[in-house]
Amino acid sequence: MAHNRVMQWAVLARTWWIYDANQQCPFRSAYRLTTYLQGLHKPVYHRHGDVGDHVVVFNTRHIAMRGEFWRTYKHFHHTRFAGGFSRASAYRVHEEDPTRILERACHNRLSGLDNKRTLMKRLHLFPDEEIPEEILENVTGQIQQVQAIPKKLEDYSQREIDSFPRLFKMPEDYDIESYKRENRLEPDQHTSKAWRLK
Amino acid sequence: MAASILKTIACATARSTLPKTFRISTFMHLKVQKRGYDQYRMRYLKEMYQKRLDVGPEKQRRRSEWINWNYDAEIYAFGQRLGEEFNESTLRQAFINRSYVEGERKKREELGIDIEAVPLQLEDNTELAEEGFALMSSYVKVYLRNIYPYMFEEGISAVHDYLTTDKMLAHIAKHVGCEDLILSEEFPVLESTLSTAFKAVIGALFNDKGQEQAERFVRDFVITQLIEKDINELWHIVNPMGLLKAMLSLNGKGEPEPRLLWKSGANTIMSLYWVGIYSDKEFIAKSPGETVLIAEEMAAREAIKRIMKTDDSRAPLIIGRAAENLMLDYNRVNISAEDIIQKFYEKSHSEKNSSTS
Amino acid sequence: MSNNAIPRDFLKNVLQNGMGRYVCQLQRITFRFCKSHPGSRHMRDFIENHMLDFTQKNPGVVVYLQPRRHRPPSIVAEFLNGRREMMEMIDKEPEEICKWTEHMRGRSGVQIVNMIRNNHTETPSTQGIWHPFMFRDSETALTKFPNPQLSAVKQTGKTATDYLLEEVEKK
Repeated sequence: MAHNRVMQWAVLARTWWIYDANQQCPFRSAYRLTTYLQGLHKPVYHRHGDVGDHVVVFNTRHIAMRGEFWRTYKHFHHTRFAGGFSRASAYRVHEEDPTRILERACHNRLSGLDNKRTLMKRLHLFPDEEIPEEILENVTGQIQQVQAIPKKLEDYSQREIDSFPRLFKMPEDYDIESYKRENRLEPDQHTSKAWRLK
Repeated sequence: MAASILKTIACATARSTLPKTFRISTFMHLKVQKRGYDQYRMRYLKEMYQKRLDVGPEKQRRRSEWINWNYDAEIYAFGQRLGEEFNESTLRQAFINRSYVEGERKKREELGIDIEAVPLQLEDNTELAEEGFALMSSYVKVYLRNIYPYMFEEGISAVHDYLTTDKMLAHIAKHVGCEDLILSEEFPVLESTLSTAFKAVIGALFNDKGQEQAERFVRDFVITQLIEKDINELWHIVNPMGLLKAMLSLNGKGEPEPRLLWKSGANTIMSLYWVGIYSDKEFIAKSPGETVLIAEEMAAREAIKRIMKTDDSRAPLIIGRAAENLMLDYNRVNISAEDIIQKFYEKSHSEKNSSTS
Repeated sequence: MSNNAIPRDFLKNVLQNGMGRYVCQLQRITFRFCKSHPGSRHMRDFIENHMLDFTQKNPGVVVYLQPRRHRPPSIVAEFLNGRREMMEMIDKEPEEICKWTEHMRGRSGVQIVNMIRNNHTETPSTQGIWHPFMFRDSETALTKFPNPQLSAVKQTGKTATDYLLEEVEKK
């Protein structure tokens, strides 16, 4: 009987997972994180059983969104009072609260569940690599990242760049340094002044 | 009844001018339309129900007080039901309780009949019960010692005590049909009476049919109560780590080393620790726990279970048809935990003395 | 609507019946009938023609006959666990009475309610029920989290760059 008690405790224990959101897509990350939050990764999963785990996410400030999403993906909010509707692009929201995009992504994935709010309470988000000691002590496993981080030119050492084989010869009048120049427009030029956030 | 009829007639004559759809309620003098049921009936039924509750429940009676009872037929059927052929006289004796015999004696004294002149031809079941209990007790122990050859004597005694308590035997006796057949003074029948009767039935079977049949009976009815029961929980070990240490040292293995295997949620209420016990860098047992100390203790218990070969993955009990040709060693004695601890202390004392001297 | 209004229970085996030996759980059966009323004619027919077969096949069951004037026929079964079941046998043919008697003989005395599950065991697993650390290496207790090796996506296969660099190295 005592052994059954500890075995039951072990089977239904909550494990703590940690996830590095550096250079990761928030929506693809949310797909993986919500799996762990709900407990779908466990063979003892049941909707009514409280089998979800805790997930600690850090580096949410450094998430990466595909294409034009920083500008075009909007977060909507209504205060439920008249004239209380507002919407903001992802980059604006990210400036104000660097954890909000990932939080909303996970929240939206858990739609339809009764215990959504309980599950969201078990998601701990940190914008940078500073995580409180009490939480780090609890962690038992690491969730693998969703996207491979590509190696940028800055990450290559000068020696590697020099020793890389030259594949073809450029024509003499080709401007090699042109990529370094700015060529992007001011943001929000397409929307009318009334809707632009101040 | 008659008074109420007169009352309604009187009311009808007095208010005959009123339309027929209205009936005057004598209770509240209100005009109520006629309904498809008698309005008094609900109150009457409620009143009767309350009276029945006030009187109290039906008195508990013995089964023999009802008209459809035939003791001879019941005795015969009892034997047939269990698949055994008893001698009727021994079986009748098995159900006669001492209180019944004494009751009969008192009745005769009250009536003034001399017992020496007309002796009571009743013998109670105490002798049969003693024989039956001795057989059951010894067979249970022999069976357990053979099935679990590595289990400590204290463990086997604990399981034997669990199986032969009055409560357990009374439970078995009830479900086998002894309760209605027992002759005793007090009613409802006590647990001790039921267990004595059951032991007496075993004794009767032993006298009539021999040891083998009686042992089969004990196997089929008493030992089967161990199915789906965790035998390790029946023996409470006070210091499992100490016992484990003694066992390992006497077997020439290293001291037990508890190591943390995994942990989760160390700062939370839902903390979980898995502790494994190693001896000479060899894994013995592991167990989870809410705290490290609990996990260590449970791991030590698991290790002892593993040494006794009574862990949860053990083979099932051998009963039924598979046990018909079971050859048991009746003289087997298992190792005793007390002996082990004694030897361990002697050994450690001698080592200390030799090291100091 | 509520899921606890209709009585339901787990399966029960009385006293591990069948594990050691099988004991018929029917203790005694009483056939009640009226000697003259036409409603009991099927019951009287059953008693004359079919009842003795039943008693001979089941010597462990005590059979009682209880004639009751002006009352409908019925059977009362008493089981070893103390329960008592009554069934009215009005307008039931003798064959049907046989069937109901056989039904009573085959029952454990437990009350018939909805089954929650059609199986029951106290030992659901011999290999042990899964727990979160069953297939995890105990090295996880020693790792300091966050661990970049565990976090990074593992490269599967060669990229074009790797292939190129290999070719160059060969030369």
